Amino acid sequence: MRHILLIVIFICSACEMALEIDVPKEKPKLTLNSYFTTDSLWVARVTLSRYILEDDYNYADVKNAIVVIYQNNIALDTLEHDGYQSYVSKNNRPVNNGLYEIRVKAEGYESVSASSFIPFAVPIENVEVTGAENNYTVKVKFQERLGEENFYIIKAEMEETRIDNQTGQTYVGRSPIYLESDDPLFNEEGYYYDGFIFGDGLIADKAVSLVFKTSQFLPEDSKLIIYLRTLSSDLYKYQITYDLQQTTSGDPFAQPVSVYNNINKGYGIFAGYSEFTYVVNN
Amino acid sequence: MKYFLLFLCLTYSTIHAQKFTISGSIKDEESGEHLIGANIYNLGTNQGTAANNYGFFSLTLNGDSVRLRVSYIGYSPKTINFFLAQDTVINIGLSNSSLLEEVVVTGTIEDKIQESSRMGIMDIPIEQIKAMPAFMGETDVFKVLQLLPGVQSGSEGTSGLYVRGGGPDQNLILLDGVPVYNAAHLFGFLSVFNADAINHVELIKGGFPARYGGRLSSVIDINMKEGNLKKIKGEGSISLIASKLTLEGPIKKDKASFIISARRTYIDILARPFLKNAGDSEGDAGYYFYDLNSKINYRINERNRVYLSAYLGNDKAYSKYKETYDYDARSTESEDEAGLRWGNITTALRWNNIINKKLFSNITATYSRYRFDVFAKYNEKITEAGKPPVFEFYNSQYVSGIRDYALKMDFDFVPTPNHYIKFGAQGIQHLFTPGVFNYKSNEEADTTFGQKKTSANEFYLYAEDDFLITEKLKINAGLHASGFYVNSKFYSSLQPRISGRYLLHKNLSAKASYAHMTQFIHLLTNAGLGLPTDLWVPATENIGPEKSTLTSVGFAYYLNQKYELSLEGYYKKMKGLIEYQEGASFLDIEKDWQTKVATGVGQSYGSELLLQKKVGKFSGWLGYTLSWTYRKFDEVNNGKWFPYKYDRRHDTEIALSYKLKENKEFSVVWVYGTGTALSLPTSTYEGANGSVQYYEGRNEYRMRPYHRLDVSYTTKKKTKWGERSWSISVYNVYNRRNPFFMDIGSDRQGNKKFIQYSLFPVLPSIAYHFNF
Repeated sequence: MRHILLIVIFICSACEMALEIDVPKEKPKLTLNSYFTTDSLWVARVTLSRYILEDDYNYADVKNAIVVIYQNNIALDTLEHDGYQSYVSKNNRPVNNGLYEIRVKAEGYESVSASSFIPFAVPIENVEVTGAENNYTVKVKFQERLGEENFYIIKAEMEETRIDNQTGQTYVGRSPIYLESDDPLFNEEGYYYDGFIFGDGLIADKAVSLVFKTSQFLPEDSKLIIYLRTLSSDLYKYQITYDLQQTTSGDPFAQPVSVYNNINKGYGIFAGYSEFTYVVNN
Repeated sequence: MKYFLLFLCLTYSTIHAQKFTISGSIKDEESGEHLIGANIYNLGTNQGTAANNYGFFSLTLNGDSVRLRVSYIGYSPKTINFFLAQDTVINIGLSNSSLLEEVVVTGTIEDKIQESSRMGIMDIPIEQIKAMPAFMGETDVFKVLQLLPGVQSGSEGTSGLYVRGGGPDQNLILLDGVPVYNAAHLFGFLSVFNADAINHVELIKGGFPARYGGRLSSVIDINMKEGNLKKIKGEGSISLIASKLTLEGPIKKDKASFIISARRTYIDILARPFLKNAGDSEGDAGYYFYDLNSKINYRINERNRVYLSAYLGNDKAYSKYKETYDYDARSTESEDEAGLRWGNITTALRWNNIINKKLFSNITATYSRYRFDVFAKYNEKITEAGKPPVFEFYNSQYVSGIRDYALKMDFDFVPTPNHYIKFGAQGIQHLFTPGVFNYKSNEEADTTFGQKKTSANEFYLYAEDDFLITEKLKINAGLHASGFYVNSKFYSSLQPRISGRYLLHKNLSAKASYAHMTQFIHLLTNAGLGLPTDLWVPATENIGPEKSTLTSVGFAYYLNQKYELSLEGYYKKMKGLIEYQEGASFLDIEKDWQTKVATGVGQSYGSELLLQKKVGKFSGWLGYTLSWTYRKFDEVNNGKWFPYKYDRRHDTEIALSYKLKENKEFSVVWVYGTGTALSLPTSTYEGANGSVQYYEGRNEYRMRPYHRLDVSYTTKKKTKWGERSWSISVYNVYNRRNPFFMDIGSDRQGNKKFIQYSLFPVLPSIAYHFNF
């Protein structure tokens, strides 16, 4: 296919003429990025967007913002800037299925807000690992929560005790396990970093059984850790569109991708998730 | 004597009460070529008809004196007087007015726009097409169609047609009744139709008669010439990028004829010396296209005639390199070749039969194939002293296309002058190859992946009647019923069609039409580059057919017996449209196309104004379109309506030609169009692991408006062997930098800018034409 591109570019460039065009400049807006889950303190990052033609590659931190978390329109916590990059809560943690709102004010910029929730974690019932060196099959079973639309990320890591060659000391290290699957569910959806992201639109039964393969070696005394992250629809849409924009960037044949944005009057994402981990001793 | 007079009176009154049918054909007197759409009128009663696509007409009148007026644009009209006392067959010949000295055709009053029941239909005389300024000296039928209101061009310089908010896949392009699936040469900058081989071009953009179906937005019905039945004739031309030659003549005088027309570019030959100088290794790269039209026509007898016509065209862009190098005692020879090819083949075998004076049939068997492939080959031979040679190779090929076999039967039945009934049926067997990748090397066995070939069967039945209800009211009503069977899934569709006119005044009529259309095949097309890589795919069990309804109302006015003025407003709704999802790309060939597309709806509405003068020293038209076109897909633009890429608020065309003398003609074309819609990122912000580009919405921005002026001057001269002419054309006279695409780039200081890329500056060209 690259040949087509080269030939077309060759033909077109033979007589192309470039002309600069002025497109109205847009003022910077507040960008808010905050993922939240039950195990963590609130963390939010506030930066400024840039006009697309600005040459600066950094996004300016907004350190003078007032960042407040609300639930049922009642202020729960005001996040404080940690002096580095983020606004954090001191001891407040979100809870399952709670609907939260975040409001951010900063002088000189239009205030922004967003709301999202943490879906219930879906427990993994069983993980079965079969096979031998460099050819393992991993079967993951869990029960779908009926009556609601669910979105997941599933990924795996290996935990093992390693020896530091220089000091001779032992430590516990984790490394990603790259999973593969022939399940048609994943043809429809996408590969996400070291795992898969998918919705339950194609899952017919309540009892879900997913089969993965990996060709990575799992030592005898290691542990296989499966993470099943349940995403809010906001986070799912953001992740899918964000990944798509990154992977198609530079492909002249690809349609432009709008990344999902749930920040009113601004940019970014405010979204919750929950996570269940299942450990298999090899 | 008394009884004799009484007998005469009775006989006379009986004859008067009786109706008789005049049937036959209307031809070019010199060549024997049928004149499609020529008019025949009885001046006494104002009853008339037009010759059909095969030149046949049938007109039933009361037994009486008749004054038949026969006319066709560009030909001198003829009047025939006789007493109609029995069914009569007459074959009428008309003389081309350009062959007559001192003849200025002032108009064909019988061909009145306000009297036709049809709407949204344009006939462009082929001579008018040839008279327009030609891009790089190559006359292009589609580029002239782009100058009509309601028809928009795609990207700069391309021949794509976007009719009333529809995509290029929604045009049914017929060459002698056979669908042509990709009408593009030179990556869309020229269409595949060689004007020298064409007899007649008709564009239908609304008020679709029931006989047409299978596409939503337009029908472009092109008929090839039949071949001169009287004598051998030839014509040809040499332009900057291509040459063509056409030969036609009798195989047996007045019985059988042939025509063959060939065209080839020489871009590859012209570019070769530059490429040779530029490279060190032994290599070659280039591009060419060719096409060949041919037709044989055999008149079996007065009632039966057969035709065999074929079109073959191919484009190829390629690069080839050969290298030899030695290292120590080892010698390596390698050959590398890559390229892309695409082309159409169409064939039609047609049998015309005049069953009786009122019933005409046409049976056509057709074959059509469009194929696109990209290939890469690499061969290497390594020789080393004392060792057997080692061979390495790599072959890959990506193929897509569509192939059709079809059988069609059409009948024309003319029971009375007030009814013109057409009915018929067609069956098509499609084979779709929507993208198969084949790979083979010395290390890997033959590997094939990509989409599966899919076969599908399509059929339709239709009946329509062009019915003169009263002198003022005339309608064309019909029904088109179609079906499509694919992968055990059956789709069917009933499509009512109606159009009509009401005469408000002898020169003014109000018109209205409604058409329901269904399209069972889709074109998967990328963001507007119009490449031959676009894939034809069928409706499937998951992705249904496309459907539309089109409602039009308008007025037609015949002004000063010279000008035709039409004003039409339309509203079109479309559903089942497909579009690549955000981020989807045809480069991702391993993924099933059905998972890469979104289905949605569209709407287009607007109004079109056309002021046209068809005959005389000064002819041409002025067109203006005001329109809005939108699309909506759940998976695109957050499910909100967005402007279609070719949503163009204003579109204006002026196309004029003026005959300074009989042998000197000046033409000018000016076009203006609102800028093409496009998606541009306006901001960037911090994302999860990097930057995010923010798009306000799909197609939120507009490129700069498009406008361009083209002029041409043609001078002809009679020679001993025939006639020669020189055409000097200038494309984009005032060197407007029209937008082709926009991107983010950098200026000379390295600052980021939106850069608009243009293709064609002012381009003068010259072409030499000859005929003998």
